[in-house]
Amino acid sequence: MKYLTRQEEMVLLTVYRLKDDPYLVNIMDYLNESADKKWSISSVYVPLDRLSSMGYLVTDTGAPTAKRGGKAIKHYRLTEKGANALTEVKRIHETMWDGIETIITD
Amino acid sequence: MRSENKIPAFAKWLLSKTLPMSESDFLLGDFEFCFNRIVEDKGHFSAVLWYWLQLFKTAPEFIKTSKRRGALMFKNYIKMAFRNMIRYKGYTFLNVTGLALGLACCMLIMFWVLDETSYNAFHENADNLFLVEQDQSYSGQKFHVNVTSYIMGPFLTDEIPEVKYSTRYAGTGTLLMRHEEILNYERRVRAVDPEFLDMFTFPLLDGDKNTCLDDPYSIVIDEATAEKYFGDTNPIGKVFTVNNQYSLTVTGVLKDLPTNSTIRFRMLVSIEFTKTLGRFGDNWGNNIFTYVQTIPGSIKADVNKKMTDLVFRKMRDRYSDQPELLSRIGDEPSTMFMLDPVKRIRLYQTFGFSNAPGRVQFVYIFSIIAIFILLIACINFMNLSTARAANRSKEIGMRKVTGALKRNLITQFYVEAITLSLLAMVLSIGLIIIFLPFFNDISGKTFTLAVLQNRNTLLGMFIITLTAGILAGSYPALYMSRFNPIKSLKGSASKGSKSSNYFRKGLVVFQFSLSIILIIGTMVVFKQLDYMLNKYLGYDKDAIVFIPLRGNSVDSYPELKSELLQNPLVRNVSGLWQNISGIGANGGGAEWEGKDPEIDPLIGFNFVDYSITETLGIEIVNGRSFSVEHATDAEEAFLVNEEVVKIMGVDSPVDMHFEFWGRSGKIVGVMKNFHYQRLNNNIQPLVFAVNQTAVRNLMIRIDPETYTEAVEYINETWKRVLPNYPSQVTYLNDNFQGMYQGQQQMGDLFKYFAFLAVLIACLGLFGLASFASEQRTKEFGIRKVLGATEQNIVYLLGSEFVKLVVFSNVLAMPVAWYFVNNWLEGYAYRTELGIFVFAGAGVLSLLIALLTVSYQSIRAAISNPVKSLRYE
Repeated sequence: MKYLTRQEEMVLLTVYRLKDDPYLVNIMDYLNESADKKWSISSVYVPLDRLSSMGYLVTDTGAPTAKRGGKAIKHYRLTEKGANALTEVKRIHETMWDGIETIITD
Repeated sequence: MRSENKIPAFAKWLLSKTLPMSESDFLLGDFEFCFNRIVEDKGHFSAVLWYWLQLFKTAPEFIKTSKRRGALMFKNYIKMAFRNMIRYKGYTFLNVTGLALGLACCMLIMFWVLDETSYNAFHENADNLFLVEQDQSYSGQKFHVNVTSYIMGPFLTDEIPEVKYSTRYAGTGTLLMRHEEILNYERRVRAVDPEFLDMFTFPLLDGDKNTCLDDPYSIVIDEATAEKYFGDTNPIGKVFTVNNQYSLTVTGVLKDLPTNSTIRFRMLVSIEFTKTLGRFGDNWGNNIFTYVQTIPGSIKADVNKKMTDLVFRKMRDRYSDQPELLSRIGDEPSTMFMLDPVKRIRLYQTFGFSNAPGRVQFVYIFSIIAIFILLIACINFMNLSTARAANRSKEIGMRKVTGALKRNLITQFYVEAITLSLLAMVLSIGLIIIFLPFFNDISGKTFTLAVLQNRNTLLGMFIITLTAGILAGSYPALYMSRFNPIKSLKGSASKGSKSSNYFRKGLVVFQFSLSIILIIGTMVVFKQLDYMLNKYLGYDKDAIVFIPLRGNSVDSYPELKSELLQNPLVRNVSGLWQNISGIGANGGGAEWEGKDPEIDPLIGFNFVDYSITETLGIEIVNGRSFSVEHATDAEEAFLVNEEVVKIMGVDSPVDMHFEFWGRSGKIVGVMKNFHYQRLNNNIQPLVFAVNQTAVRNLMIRIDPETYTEAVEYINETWKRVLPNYPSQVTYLNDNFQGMYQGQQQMGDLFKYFAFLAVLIACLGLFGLASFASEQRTKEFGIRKVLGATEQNIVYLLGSEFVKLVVFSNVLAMPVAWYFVNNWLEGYAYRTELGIFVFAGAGVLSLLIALLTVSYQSIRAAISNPVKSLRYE
């Protein structure tokens, strides 16, 4: 099974967290707050697109709003496949880190 | 939605093209959402900046992941382009910098040209606004004049149906203006009819347009003046004391004038005020401007004829009881009136006998220079790209072998060229931002960064960049795609054919020729400027200081004169009506014994005080100067210059009867010709007559050695006699500096552009030289092993390029000579075009070329032959 990249993992988790309202700009803002790397529109969009095509997310197109220049807004939702991928990643992470408190280098 | 919050349309379009088709709608919406957020947060400008930044960051990523057909190879080309750029950092730097400089320069000149061609276009009625001008006729010659008489304006509106409005626009002379403690001589006060503010678009910030100029003692001021005198308080209703005599009340505040207006003033008063000042001429003498606004659809030729006939009729009516004047006016109008569109005034206005082109010649010259410089930069581009071709022959061979068609290779090279040029465009924008203030200084304009935000400007830049990229890329594209794959993989196609070498060298020659022409142009402009500023004008201008007399100070002239003469530091004191540096008054109607009645020459005129020729150092070649000892000199004496004598056609006019400017008497002496106007013009005939009450310029002769003490004494004396008027002692020489300001600016601009052109050409030369030395490392290595000295190597490498520069000189000289000669012919008095200028330019170009090439030559010369022979 293909591993989720860090980026993808963060994006998926954010979609999950923002249960009620996960659309691109929201996701971008949340990621910018929590993570270090500065996320731009494209750096969020590209993973989202990839994840949708892999089946981890589905999209819902909402109604157009004037604020966005009359364009529709897209909402993302985690699929079961995506949820599985996330839990898998978490499991692997915990397994690898099991028992290691801190990393000591000589 | 307010228009300020709109997303830059150009960027949006670009973005939409780079986004994947199916998503572009949503994503554009997201971008717009974030854009609006930033507008709220940090303002419009930051948002625009962010938007452009997004474009640059986003586009590559989207392109990378796009699955559009044809995008794939494209991505490869871009990748290759960047890799090549990084691999040959030096060349890339030279290339991009050269092109960026050329682009920036071109853009700046374009801004200048656009500004110059936009003068007076901002008026709402601009298409129907005209200045009334006339062609006068003297002895059959046409003399074009832009001024008209005080009484003309109202007649035009009354009697010519096509004229909707007219207004007079007159100077008031320099006025001493005071409000409480603040006291200043103001030169930019203009008197107008009330229609002025209706005709022209000079908006009022405060005050009522329809009534503010009704009262003859009202004044309208601009923002800057309001601030100067009143600070933050509201100026309406406040009072100015003018010339210590009159009180003017402020009735309006004008928005500061835009810079692209030929009509420049700081304050407006009613034309009626000129009557109070005694300047109003109730006759047909011409000394003010008259503007009219016509009904749309009027035919200019009709209006012109009507004006001509009208003036002719009125003049005949007015002087109907003076048969001599009537006969001079004649039966047919000899003075033709015409309308000059205000939009043409800046560039095309002419004056006088000559048909010298107006400022429009500068526009042409600089446009040509812009194209020159861009050409040089593009040629560089081409040269450097081709020069590197040899290093990529293997790559090209591989591509061809693995199935690339010639078409694909051409595309690839075009992509590289265009990428580079786009990079250059970005850099050039940065350069423009950095150099804008400097450019403003030397061109006398006030451009702000707003010019860059103009959609048309950006589009223009983009198109020029693309054109440059395509033009410059075409040569390498077409040349390199022709490489034979077998030969190139074997490695033998690296040198490049003979013809391509010649072509490249030809380009360098062309570049240097253009630069040399610019250098020569610069040198000549400055030489002429220097000549004009330092030429002996026929009197001792270096020993004269003067003080203009305004308002009541005119009456104090005799007192000032006698006080000043008491100090030996002051050698002599006299005065004139118009300053010797610019006598503009002239007219016809002169009469003398034996004058041919057919001719009516235009003769210049000035009122003077008795001792003027001694004070100024004007030589008398015949007869005598004015003298108090001859009582008749006060009303009946004339001094003429040599030109008048020529017209009269006699050996000696002394004691001949002469009539001019309303006076009748005898000529008492002849002055040696001296320059009293700009050196563009031949010396015209000139007549002096005595009138001490007409003196408006006090001329003081001093000894240049003791000038500081003298000026001190003059200032003290002035303050004593006229405590209410600030003293304005000025060196006569300073007046001349101002006269040639236009040429000075042109010279400066030339200087900088020549420098740029040379710089860019050198960049090209440098690149070529490094390429050449790289190609020949093996050859040099072998030569050294066989015994060549370092000098030999330097000579070998250098001589090739020196020959090129010499050839450029040979080409450039005749062309430069032709243009420069042409330009100088516009000046009646010009500097010589000595060998020195051309030789100097030639030597300069050689030195520059040698310097540029020397780095490479020396490096090649001192390199270790062992290392170079190992190089493979």
